[in-house]
Amino acid sequence: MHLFIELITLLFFLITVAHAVRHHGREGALFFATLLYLGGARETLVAVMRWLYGFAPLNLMLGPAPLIGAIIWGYSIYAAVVWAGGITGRSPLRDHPTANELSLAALFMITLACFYEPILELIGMAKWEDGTRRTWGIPWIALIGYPTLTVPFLWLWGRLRQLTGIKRFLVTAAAMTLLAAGHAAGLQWLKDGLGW
Amino acid sequence: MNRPDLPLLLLAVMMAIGAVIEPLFFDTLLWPGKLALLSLLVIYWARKPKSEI
Repeated sequence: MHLFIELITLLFFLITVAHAVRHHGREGALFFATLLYLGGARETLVAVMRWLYGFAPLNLMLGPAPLIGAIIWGYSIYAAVVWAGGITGRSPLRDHPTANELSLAALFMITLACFYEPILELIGMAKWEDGTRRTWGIPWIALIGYPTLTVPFLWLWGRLRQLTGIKRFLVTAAAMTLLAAGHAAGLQWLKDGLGW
Repeated sequence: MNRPDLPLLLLAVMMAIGAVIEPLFFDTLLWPGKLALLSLLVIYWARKPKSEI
């Protein structure tokens, strides 16, 4: 079952990357490259530091983190961008996102948390810490975690894409590393503080 | 690949796969998340003119 879910997710991720490149060209490819780095860095930190949740032994790994954990962020955030863009008529990928678009993307990611998390629990792919508070299989902290990675990412993306060349590469790499580390550590800190 | 809403279609397919697998292998249907996501997808498709899809 795990391998089936991993392969389906990988296939959908690759189709989505192709879609982004088809519609946004080089910027679409860079968008996904950045998200792959962000997702990979964040899930690696979660695995290595034993924050938030543990992973079942999976078939496709990216270092210490499951590949599905690294790619699902890009797949989901791009879907949130497509949805928010469809509602507002602009593309948060091309234009600097407005507060309205960031709010819509956050709403979409909260909904995805409600969709993904109960399935992950049911099939045993992600194991949250003992005592994690949930409703309908949805960890409360995930309702904060999904949008709080998405909104800063989209805001940063809108800013950083104004840079060019090596400066853009270096500043983006630094910003995504800080975001990945700050998000994973901050969420664990918040979860402990709230007793969730 | 030309459809702007392709990523959302894939999510709908993912939901359909879950709706088959869950009752078949786990004797359950995780409906709250699916219902919430389906609502957002319906809003998207209801707002988009057909010519844009």
